[in-house]
Amino acid sequence: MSELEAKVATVQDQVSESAQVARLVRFHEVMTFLNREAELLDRNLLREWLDECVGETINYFMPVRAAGDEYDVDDVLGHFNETRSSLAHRVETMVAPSSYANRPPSRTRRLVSNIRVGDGPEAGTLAVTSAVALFRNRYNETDFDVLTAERRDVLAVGGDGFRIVDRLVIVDLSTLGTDNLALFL
Amino acid sequence: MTDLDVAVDPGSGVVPDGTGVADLVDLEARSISARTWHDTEVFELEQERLFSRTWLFVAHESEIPEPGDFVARHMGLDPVIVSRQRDGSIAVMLNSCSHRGGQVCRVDKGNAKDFACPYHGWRYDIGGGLTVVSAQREAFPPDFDKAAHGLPAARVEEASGLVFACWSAEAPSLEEYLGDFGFYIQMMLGISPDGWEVIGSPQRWEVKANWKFGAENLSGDGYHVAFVHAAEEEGGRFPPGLLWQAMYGINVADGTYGHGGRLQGAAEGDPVSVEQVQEVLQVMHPWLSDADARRALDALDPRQIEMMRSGTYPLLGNVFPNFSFVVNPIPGPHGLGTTTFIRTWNPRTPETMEVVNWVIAPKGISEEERRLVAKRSVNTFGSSGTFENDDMEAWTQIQRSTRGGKGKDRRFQYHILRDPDPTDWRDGEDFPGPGLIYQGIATEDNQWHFWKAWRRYMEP
Repeated sequence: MSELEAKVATVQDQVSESAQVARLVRFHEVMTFLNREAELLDRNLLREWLDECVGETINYFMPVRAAGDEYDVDDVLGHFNETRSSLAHRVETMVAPSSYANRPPSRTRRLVSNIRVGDGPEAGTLAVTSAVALFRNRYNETDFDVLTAERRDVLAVGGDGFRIVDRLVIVDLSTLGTDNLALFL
Repeated sequence: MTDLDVAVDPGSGVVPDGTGVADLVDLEARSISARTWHDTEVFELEQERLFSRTWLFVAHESEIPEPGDFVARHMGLDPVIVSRQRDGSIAVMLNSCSHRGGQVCRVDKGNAKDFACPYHGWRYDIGGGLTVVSAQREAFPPDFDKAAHGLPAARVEEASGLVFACWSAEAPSLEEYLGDFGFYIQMMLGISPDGWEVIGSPQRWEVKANWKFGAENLSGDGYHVAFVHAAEEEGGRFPPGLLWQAMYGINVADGTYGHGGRLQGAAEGDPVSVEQVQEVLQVMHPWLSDADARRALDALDPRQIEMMRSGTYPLLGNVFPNFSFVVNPIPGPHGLGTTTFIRTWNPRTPETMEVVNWVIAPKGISEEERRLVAKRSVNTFGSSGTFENDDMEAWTQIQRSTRGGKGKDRRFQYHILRDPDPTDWRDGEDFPGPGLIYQGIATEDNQWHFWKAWRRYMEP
């Protein structure tokens, strides 16, 4: 190996190392964002969730499942078919004094894991897949409603952090085991 | 004319602990026992006497357009297959092998050439006829008659694209069963001249409450709207005071089989022109073109037109026992326009129900309008609907309160009677539509009709 070739190899190693570091940093930032999102939702800070996590435009969709559909999910009817304005409307209804489904609030715990981060469909976006397990308890009951799902997100990367601009929630139940969806996944 | 005042029948139906059905629903006191909400014996009796003798909604015809198309559904607790036959008819059969009862269909929907039991390999054609008995020659007697071992089949009839099935040979036809109530279903669905189709698969979720809470509510509970749904004003969907107005309207009931529904509007003053009706319809249902609106109006019954000219449009209802519907333009974040769903409240246990909620859209509308119908419907009612979220909270709370030694023996009264003032607008005979009419502040007569039918069916 010539001296020049050795120098090139060293630079390549450094570039590759810094790319790896950049990927790790990016992964850590995404994980921190998803954990922060879970925290806001678990604390019932719904307006804050909308402000900090949801893009000015969003397609938020949780398709209905059927036994035997595998991953061929319906593209029109969901448990949620939401836009930014309809999410905002839901939030305003859920924080209202007479929102009986959310007052008293459920105690929820969202466990987010299996995070994978890739390039998004457009420059300045990331494609993020994660798994979420939501435990929901109401009143003084001793048991939990459990919802688990895969989430496929597109995050827009901006100066003040990430915003979700697309979320597909592939829930693992064809018949949901909770009384209502006065919650977000 | 009302049959609310019939003499009290002592009744001969008895739940196994000796309590009479007549005690569970007391016609004289107009009260029901809390046992009807949670009791296991009552629940089992419902399976035997109610769900095996009434017409039950199983599918919308648009879900299974081609021969071999099927959906798996429930009639009460019984799993059934609903499948399109080669001649275009629809068959409904018990999803349970004639040999040992294994389920021959194990997915929710699809297209099948036949149905096979995984346990011992028996096979059935799409109409439920037994076609293959494994090792028949080697192991079965030579006179084994396959024709006698098909899947148990239910009677099947359709009304306005809605497919109903019934296990009882003695039950009346669907047309007779729906009676005067069929007129309002037809009026509701008649605004789309080419009919309706289901969008995707139904939402399904399990609620920790007895199935009758939903059925009774959609029979015409106009009383709860301003209270349990108050968040809809606070959250900005409606201006303050509008929900209170929703307490006024017109309830209709067939008076015989326990169906009940609610119409919006209670117009007073001069009727508007048919052209104005068309304008109103097109505001409420933006997908309606001028030509389609005229075709729809041309096909409606003159009495239905007369009702609309007076500002009265169908809103919601329940076909006894557990099929409900809403067709209603509701404002919201996706704009004003059609919000439509049909649904069943399926019993699962005495204290849980499965809600199956189909969103339906008019046939032939644009993809954009179809998506809007889905968005609006999901936003209001259904698994995440902001209205429905709060209904569920009320029903699950009632369920919790009727379990205890004191709570289970309570009786709930249906106090609110028809306004006795005979000068009430268009009450009774002057109303263009058929059936029993309750106009003004929402009464509990419709719910009471539900309970009276329930009581009759629970008798042997």
